Amino acid sequence: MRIDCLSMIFGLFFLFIPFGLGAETEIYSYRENRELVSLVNRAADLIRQTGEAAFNEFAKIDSKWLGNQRYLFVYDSDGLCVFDPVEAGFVGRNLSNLQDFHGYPVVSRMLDLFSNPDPDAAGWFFYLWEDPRHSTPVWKGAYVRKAISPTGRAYAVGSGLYRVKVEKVFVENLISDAADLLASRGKAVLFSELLNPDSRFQILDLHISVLAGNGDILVDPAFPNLARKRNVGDYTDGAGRNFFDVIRNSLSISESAWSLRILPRYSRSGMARHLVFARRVVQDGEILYLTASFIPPTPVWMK
Amino acid sequence: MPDKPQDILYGLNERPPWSVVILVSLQHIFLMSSTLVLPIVLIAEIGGAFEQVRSVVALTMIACGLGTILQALRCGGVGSGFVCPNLCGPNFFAASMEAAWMGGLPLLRGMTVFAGLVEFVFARFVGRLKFLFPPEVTGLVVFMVAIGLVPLGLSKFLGIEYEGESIEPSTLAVASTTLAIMVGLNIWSKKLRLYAVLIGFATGYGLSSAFGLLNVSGIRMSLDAPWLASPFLDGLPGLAFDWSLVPVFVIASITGALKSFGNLITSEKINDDCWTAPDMRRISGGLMADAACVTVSGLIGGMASDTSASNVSLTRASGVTSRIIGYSAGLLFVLLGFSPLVSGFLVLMPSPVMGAILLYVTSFMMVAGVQIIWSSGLDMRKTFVVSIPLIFGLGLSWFPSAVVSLPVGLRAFADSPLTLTTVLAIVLHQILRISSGSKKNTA
Repeated sequence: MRIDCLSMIFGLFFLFIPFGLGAETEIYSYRENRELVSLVNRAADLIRQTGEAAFNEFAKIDSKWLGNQRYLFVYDSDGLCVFDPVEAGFVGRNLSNLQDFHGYPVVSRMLDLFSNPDPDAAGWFFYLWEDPRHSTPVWKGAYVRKAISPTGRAYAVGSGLYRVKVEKVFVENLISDAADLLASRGKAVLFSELLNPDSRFQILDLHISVLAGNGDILVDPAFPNLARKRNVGDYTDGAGRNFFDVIRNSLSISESAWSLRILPRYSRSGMARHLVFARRVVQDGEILYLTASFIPPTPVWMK
Repeated sequence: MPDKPQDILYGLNERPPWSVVILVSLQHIFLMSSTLVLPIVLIAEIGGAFEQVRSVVALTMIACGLGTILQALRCGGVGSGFVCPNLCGPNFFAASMEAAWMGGLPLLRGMTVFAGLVEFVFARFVGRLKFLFPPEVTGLVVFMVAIGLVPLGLSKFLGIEYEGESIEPSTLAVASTTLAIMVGLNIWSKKLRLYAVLIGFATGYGLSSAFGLLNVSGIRMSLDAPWLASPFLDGLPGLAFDWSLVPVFVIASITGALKSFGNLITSEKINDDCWTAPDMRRISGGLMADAACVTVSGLIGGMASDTSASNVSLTRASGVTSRIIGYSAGLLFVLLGFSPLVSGFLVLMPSPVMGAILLYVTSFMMVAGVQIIWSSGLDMRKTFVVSIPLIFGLGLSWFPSAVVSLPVGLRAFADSPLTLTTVLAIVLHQILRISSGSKKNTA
């Protein structure tokens, strides 16, 4: 009887394990971001299977596709809006020139997905958009994925979130884009872009700083008009560590790395900390460190 | 130790059949794994790589396994002879996090060793400190330890990880079913009561998988891991020490010791229906074993631990208190520390399963605390010794920002509801003893 009992328990334990789902969303900390990515991925799958008929499903109110401030939008590869249940005036118009409050070309950036040969190309886009509940511009994050219908027509299907919360992967992508721009267009173009408050490198309260190999701050979007040249080689963080050394040491063993920076105690509310992502790039023989930081999320049970 | 109580199937000195030993030990191991999320969060917080996370988790498992064996042994003044396993103590979490933030793994190691040494001193003198811990104070500590598990347990049970999130229906459904199965087996099935936690785990994992709540990428990564591997990375991080962290680690260590104090008293009560007062020699030995576990954990590079309220509750729930379970569960935990593949699966416990288990064992712990308080025969003085610290301890959960207005020196005493309640109860007990006379005002 006991052996039967043992078998039953272990059988139950391992029976369902292969059927787990959701690996593609596990890189996200916040559930709302995971759900958004999952929704868009399922929508792309439906377009792939049923083609344009999927739009009828997406339009059903109070379904898993539409309701509770959740909706999908679909554009074709020319920038023509083919589906948007909220902005009915957009449908049937070519919106490739649509810009956000900063002049960021929202739709044309999404169309970059079509130049990617990967049939499942996807990405996040961030733009300042009017929150209909408050009539004020807020940061909105949209996850968009390419979907090719059975007729062979390519679409970009996506969905967005107002006041999207920062994830590690957003910071990593931001630095990666900056490194690509540096490699393709050089220092002058990158530095100018990093300092431009309307550029794609200043989003969600994130910005990228550039440090030279000796600790000189070459670009600091937090203080764009500071004439005095600064060096962080001797700066210590709130824990008394030389933070530049921390970054330099971590980047001596890998091209990019996360580090923790403790901020000085400005208040008595305990330690504030930032997670800093840094990447080492060599441009024209010169070592540069691209860095960006954010406050990591704290689980409710840790408070 | 007197005869075993009626609801205990296999007592302290009995030898259960091997199948029972294996299945009950497995249940203890699953429970011991339920707080391995703490070192994972801690290392992720300081930007540690996956290999570092795995190493710290494995080393913590090894230290906890050794501590569990030592606790069950009771020889040379070390160990209590009870099944009272060690796991990552939530009360050490805030202090460990601060050390890791300030000085990375070397400072975490150094301060963990320091915490272990503090507990050695406490354990050495706990007999003389008996007057500080009457049943109403120790019962209150046990109760607050249970309260301390509620935020983690409820967060996992409801699927709420970050502020502003709503209840996740699938998580709640799986967690509720898992909890209902364990509670139901305890109440209505005498035979399966032994394996209630294991059956709950199995059902919870199955349902989590069906609902897509398993960490699939983590499982894939675990499947790629070897069956056997050394958990020690190349070169141990050094040992560092920081005076500014001494108060917070002393408090965490004493709180951990008091929690263990409560767990050991609960173990005594579980094994003795006629319990009236703590056996201080046994408790001192138990705290010595706990201190050794914390010290070893620091030395080898793991996270600080303390005895597990959940596992003590499990001994009562399963009705198996035989110390052989302590040896086998401890040994298995040590071995699992050397198996990245198996330990990887334990670390990836789905949220609803973790939530259900934590709430299940918290239920036993809460009642154990209340029983200890009640056993003291409440009078007017004891009523206030219990209720006033409880009000402030629970109040701290509702008004956490109030702590920042305290002077820096006092802030460490209000570090957590458990610490604040314990300190207030000890102080109040001493104050209200003054001229209390022999009159007994029954509340």
